[in-house]
Amino acid sequence: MRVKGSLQRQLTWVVMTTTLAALLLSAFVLMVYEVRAYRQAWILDLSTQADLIATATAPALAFDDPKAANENLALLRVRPQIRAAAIYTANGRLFAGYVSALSANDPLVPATALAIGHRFNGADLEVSQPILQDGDLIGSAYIRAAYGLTDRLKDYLLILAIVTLASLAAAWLIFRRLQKGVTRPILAVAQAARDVVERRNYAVRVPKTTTHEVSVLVESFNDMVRDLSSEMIERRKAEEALRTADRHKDEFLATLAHELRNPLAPMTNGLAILKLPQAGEAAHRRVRDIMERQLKQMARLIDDLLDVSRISTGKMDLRREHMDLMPVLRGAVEIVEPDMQARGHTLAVSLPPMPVWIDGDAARLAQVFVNLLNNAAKYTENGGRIALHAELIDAQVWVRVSDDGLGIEPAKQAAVFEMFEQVDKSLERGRAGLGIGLTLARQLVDLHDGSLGVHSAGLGQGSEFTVCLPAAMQSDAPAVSGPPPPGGVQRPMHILIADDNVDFAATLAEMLTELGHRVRVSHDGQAAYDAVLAELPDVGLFDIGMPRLNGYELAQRLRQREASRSLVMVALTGWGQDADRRRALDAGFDEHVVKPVQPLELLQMLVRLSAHRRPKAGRRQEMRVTPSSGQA
Amino acid sequence: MTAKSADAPGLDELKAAYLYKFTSFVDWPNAAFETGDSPIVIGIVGNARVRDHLTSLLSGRLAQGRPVVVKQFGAGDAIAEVNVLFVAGSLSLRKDWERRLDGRPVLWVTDVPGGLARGSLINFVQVNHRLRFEASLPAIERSGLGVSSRLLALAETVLTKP
Repeated sequence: MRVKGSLQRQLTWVVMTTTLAALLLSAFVLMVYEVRAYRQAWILDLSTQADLIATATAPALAFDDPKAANENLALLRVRPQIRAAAIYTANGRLFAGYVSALSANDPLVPATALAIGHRFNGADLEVSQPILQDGDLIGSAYIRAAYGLTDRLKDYLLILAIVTLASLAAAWLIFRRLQKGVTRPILAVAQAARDVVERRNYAVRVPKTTTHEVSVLVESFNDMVRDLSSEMIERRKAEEALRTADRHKDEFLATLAHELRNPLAPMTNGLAILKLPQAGEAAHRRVRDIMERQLKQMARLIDDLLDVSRISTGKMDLRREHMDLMPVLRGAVEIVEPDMQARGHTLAVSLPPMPVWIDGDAARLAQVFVNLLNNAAKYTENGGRIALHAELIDAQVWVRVSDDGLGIEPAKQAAVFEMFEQVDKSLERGRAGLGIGLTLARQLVDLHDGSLGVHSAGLGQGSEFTVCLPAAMQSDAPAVSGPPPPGGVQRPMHILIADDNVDFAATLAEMLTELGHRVRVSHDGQAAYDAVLAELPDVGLFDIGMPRLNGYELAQRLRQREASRSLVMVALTGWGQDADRRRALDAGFDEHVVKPVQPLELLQMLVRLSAHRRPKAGRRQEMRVTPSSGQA
Repeated sequence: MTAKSADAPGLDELKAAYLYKFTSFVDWPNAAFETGDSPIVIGIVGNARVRDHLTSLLSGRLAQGRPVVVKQFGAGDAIAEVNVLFVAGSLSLRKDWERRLDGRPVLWVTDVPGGLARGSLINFVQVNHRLRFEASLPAIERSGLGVSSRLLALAETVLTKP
């Protein structure tokens, strides 16, 4: 209101002042002109009058007839402005005189003739005209009239004042109408600016106008607000996203800490039980089972985290190859079977009888299906029915994992794929997790140009996850790598383990020895190098970070020696990034395995590696693309 | 109001002046003059003082653009080529003036009481010691002269019927 009042008042003030100044100037000029014109007219009028009197009284003067002259002068009474008149003889003597009734008491008639011409005498105008008779000056006529200029001016001023006031009023009315074209948009801009500043209202727009400069102002303002608005919206979105990400991160860290701690408690308990002298063999076995399960859980957790990290930073490289999907599914079933049995679930598997070829990364796909099957097991009450069904429809492979478990509310079905989301955070029941399994699964399927979806009729109705992958053209040649031979009888191997972690080396050596293999152990790179050259083993399992000679250098040197050129070497390391893997392979390793390792799976891999190595040494490049099952 | 003082001009002087001033208010027919610049002739019968005053008054003056001249006539003289004729005093009582002047464009002026009855156009009278005059419209009409109403307005009396 203040702004509005002041702008309008200012404009009104400017216009009114200008108008008034113009009016006063024109009034003044009119006044001056009027005074001059009035004066001229009055002088002319009186002179004429005096001439008339002179002409009329000339005979009276000529024939010395004052009475007639007085009668002539008396006719002037019809003109009350004429206050006095007189006739003088040629020698200036008063011949006849007249004084109007209104001025009867004033000595207005001069005793002797005045000079010819006009003059102002106070408020009166005096005119003296000669009286001629046949060219002879026979006297003079005198007239004195109330000039009346003051009255005239008063009237005139009154008229001018009325005209000025009327003009001002008209100007004001016109201005009020016209000024809206200018002030309204400006006021609208001001109002909008205040809205923006005070209420953070970026949706305001000022209506367009027709006045050019003002419309430029209005458009510029609108553009400005539009830009500002879009920037603010973007900023808010970014802030919101940051907050959300931050909240997720906090939740994730809390969950992570919780999840990493969870396995520690049973392991600590297990250790305590193992130390108890009175604990029997059965107790020891139970404790080992528990600790193994918990370790697996932790390892899987960390693997998942690393994978998610790779995907989200775009560093996940699929090692895709032409492969049959069925062994992957069968492998996944094998992996989850113990858990299924432990929970009393019935797992129904129906797969097509023939190979289904796709271009994929077997290890990653195994990860997906193991995850889906594990989820089905976790979110189904014990004794549930779980089904794995695969079929080939129109060049697409459809794999369905269904259960009759808890199910998912329709509204939350999309959310289960979001990072760190869990269907029911309150339920512990051994189902707790980081909520990244499904996220990872979907991302992996996406990387395979496939899709992962979920369908559930609702809570308690069970759920069905569907993976759809594009099928590859039928391959003429079988895959380079066949499925790994199922477990069972294995040829004893000579294995050299090199690791500065004495405990790890000892336990791994013990396990492999238990499985019937011959194992030697070194605790640094140089010792391992010497041991290989002393007696060539079938396989070398080398740590990377070792004193004296690290794993990379060890592998490089051994590849350079003729004797050990075709030795099967596997890097066992805690470093699981792709860069680490690549570096290991570049150094000469055949395979890169991230700790902790599953002894059985490790052995399967070793068998495969040495089986290929023996007949055809130097196929290392092909070995590299072989999937390392067991990491899921 | 403007009483005439003792040392004011004499009657004869005034009569001379009036005779001259009359010429300004009278229109003569064109036939009254031989040419455009023929003089206006004022004839005087008797009273030589009037003639003398008039003569001195007229020196070089014009009336209606014409010079004015004075002619002295005897009472019995043939009156010819005259525009104004002043017949002084009782000389106007002669019976034949009217016959001699009737119908002629001559401004016949007399200065006796009842002068207009003799047939003159203008007759000097004295009112309150002032020289005034009276006029006879019938005589003026008969003479064929045009006499200005402004002059008639100053006349003491204007005779409208014979």
